[in-house]
Amino acid sequence: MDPRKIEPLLSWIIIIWLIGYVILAFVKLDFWWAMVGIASLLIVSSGMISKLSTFNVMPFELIVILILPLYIHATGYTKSAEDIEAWNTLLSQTSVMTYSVIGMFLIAELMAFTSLKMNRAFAVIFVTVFCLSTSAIWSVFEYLSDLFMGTALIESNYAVMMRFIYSFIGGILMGVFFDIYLRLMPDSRLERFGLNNLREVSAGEG
Amino acid sequence: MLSRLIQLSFVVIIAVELALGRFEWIASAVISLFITFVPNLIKRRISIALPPELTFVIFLALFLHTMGGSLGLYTSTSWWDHLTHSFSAFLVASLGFIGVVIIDKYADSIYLPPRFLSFFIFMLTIAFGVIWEISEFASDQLRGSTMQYSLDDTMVDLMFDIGGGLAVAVMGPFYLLGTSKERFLQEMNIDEAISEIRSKI
Repeated sequence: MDPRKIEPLLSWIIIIWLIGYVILAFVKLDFWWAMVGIASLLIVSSGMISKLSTFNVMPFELIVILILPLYIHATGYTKSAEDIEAWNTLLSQTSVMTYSVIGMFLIAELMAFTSLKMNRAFAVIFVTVFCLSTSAIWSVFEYLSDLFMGTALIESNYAVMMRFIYSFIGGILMGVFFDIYLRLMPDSRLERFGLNNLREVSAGEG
Repeated sequence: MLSRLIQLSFVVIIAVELALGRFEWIASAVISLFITFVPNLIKRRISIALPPELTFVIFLALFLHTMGGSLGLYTSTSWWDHLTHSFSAFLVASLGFIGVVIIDKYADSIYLPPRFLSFFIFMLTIAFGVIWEISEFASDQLRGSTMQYSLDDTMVDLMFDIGGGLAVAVMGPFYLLGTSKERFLQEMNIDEAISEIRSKI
């Protein structure tokens, strides 16, 4: 079976799942995650729906990395009270995967459409900073939601701090991972996905 | 002159804390004192002259933190932590701004359009705020200090950081517009410094 035929099909399946996810998140009043879901939806579908994006079809591995934390989050809706803490920890550890893909996508698009240029080291720094600041804003968002909307999203200071530590380490790991990942990708595959701009970052001076 | 006074105060703090046998803030005072010598060192070794106002603000931030800590202000005054946080956040954002402008100008492979620059500085400030909280947390866990009282406290700190980052991100480009990148960097002798560094590498 030709991957070029399967990948768009799988992408469509993911898109439909994502739409369902966003609706579910809104219904559950989980606004932060609904927004993350919408951002993911835009990323996955941008290449196929709009000719403005450099992506044609997103590499499936990246889609999986992007969506996995969202899936984990969705399973939380059926969790019992005892499991919630472990699930929350898992979510804190993995959410950085989604954020980093969003960050990487942002750079790719900006590099294609603006005069933005960066090298490898800066890209890793950017991903780390992006993940850290997104986690912080996410946490403040949840805190304010608890304060003003009576939700109970944040368990404790300890939980939030561990989340930050995971974001920090995770952000660095994901940044380095993307760097290696892009360097290892064969040129033909790179072009098919329209990721050439990022390759320049990785192949250029460090 | 005022900077000298601040440096002196660190020495005094170290002496007093040693005399009283309290060790919690000595490390902070020692590190602060060390940092106060760095701007001059930078000027002499690699010829970068930080704007004197910036140097003073750095000293002041260190002073507020260390003096406040040794006087027990972090425990007695509820808003002391927020004061030092906001101040430091603003400072870090400014330093980050300068750093990124320098990198932008001197690394060929990096160019940051103005709005991206603002966006990045905004995120960088928040990121530093988080790292600061992590170090406070680590200190509490490993040394039993109580730098983080409660969730509310941590969150308010972060909100201040976000506000500070926003302020610098918005003000930064205006500052650059008014003074032009070249002149801004020129006043700090960056050109000379960079060529010196490059020739040494």
